[in-house]
Amino acid sequence: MLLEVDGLAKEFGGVHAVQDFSLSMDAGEVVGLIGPNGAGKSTVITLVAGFTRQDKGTVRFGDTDISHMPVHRRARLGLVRTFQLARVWGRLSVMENMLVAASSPPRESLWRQFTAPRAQRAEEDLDRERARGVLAEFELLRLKDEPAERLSGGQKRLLEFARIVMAQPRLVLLDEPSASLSPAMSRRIGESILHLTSLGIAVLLVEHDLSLVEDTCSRIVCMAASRVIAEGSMESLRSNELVVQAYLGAALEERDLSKAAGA
Amino acid sequence: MLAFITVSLILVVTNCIVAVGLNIQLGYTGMVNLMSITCVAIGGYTTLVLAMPPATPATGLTYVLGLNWPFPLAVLGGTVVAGLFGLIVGSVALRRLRAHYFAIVTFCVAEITHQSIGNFNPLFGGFNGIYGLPQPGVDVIGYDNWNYFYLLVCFVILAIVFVFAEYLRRRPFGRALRAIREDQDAAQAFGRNVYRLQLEAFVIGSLLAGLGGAMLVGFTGALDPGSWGSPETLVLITAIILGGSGNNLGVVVGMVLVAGVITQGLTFLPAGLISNTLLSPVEVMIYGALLIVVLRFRPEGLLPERPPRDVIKEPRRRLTAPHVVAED
Repeated sequence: MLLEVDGLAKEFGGVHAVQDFSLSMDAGEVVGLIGPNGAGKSTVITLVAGFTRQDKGTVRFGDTDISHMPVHRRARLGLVRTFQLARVWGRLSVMENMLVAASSPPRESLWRQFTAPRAQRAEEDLDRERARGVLAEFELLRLKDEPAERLSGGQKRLLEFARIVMAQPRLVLLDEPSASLSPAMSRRIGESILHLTSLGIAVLLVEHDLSLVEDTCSRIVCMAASRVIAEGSMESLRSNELVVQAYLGAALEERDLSKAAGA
Repeated sequence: MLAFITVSLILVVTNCIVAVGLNIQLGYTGMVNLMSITCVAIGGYTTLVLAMPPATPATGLTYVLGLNWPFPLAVLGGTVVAGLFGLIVGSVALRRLRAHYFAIVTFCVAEITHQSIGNFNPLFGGFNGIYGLPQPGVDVIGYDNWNYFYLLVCFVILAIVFVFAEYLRRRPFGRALRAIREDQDAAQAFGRNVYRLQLEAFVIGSLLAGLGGAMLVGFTGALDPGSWGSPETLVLITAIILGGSGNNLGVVVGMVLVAGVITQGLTFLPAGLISNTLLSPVEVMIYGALLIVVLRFRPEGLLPERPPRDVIKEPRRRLTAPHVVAED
């Protein structure tokens, strides 16, 4: 088991954001997390990544109990997250963004800057070469020397995915990667998610674009009002009365309408 | 005139040492540190009390220690104590505070330290300060050429500091600091220990501030609270923003313009245009206005920071499939 979340709960000022959330994921698995706004999906991501502390419950990652571990240590174990807005390091070049994602804290240790510059440079050169390959796959190679802030919204998203490829985590938590992107870009994001899984990276995907979820996830968890209300394939969720009432009814209708409008 | 230029340059160069240090904190890492001048003062005072003989009632001075250390050793001591001060404040203030709160904490520490040192005479002479340090090395060099000699020493130190700071900026360490400046959360999400990296940058900057202060008192032979307060903080911040935050060369240019051209230029105004008592208030007003104008019209400064280019060294076969650590 790669990730084991058990009985996670979080309150914000008396309001239950997440209650009794449990989830197990295998290595390389892609799990979707859907639900109406305010259901607690993003809170689950911030809790699992360690950006906020849970009131109750445990999180295990691999063989380690990470329930009380700070964010950066979880990341070093191979647990990386993204944010609802693409967050690149704006005044670093695209290549530098890739190198920061790839390099490890030991390489950046103050001491090693002076004691092992050669070894460092060799590691950096290898990473640079690998980064160029990854950037080419994401069609960002010609932008490699641009400050990342000059990229378009969609390109920033792609750079985020490219950074994840560089970091080679075991699990990535994606928080609405297609939010505010065009339908074409959304498809691109879908491909990028499959790209990650082809590398053996497990994905927990929070997303409102249900076709994107259906295309990428083998298993889907549905939350409503801070609790998990159903779990299974998209098929089984569609026939689940609870899910349709809480979320899918409205969401599917909206999707059909937009499809009709598009056609 | 030559003497005037030499004296001005010594002040500019010692200020540059401080500014390059502050640039590591403010420019690289994005930490708005408003107590840089406090570390300058601590470095300066420590150097004085280490290098001078014990205070006696006859001199009218009061201060601690008085160890008669050789000047270079005292400079080292001043630098280290300023770094320790930075370590103590930083390790508390950086633990949970975000940018704005950190700025406020450093501002408060600066004010508290200023008032404490000013009103507690036994430590560093209170508002009277400490004075009377003999010019270091004057017994070897002689009075005639001492200013040139001291300028040369300061300049060499600045050169070393500059190369050191520039080296760090180009290495993975400096890149990690800049990533923290751009997005702290994303840096954390990719495994950076933000606290540790910020603290390291903060201590390095504090050490350099202390070094600048130590070299400054070697020249002036004196220090009192009137010469290190919020106006001096404004000078430092203005120089960095004007020159180009994050760009070491820009920071030096900014300091030359601010502490060199503007400050010294004011002394050449026709007599009677501004009365002497108004000179330093006007100076502060000019810095403040200049800072606002730069932030409004050219926030990146005269020489903006540029990310390094990725130079392809030799044409080699591109890696197509990235390696993946297999899950076991």
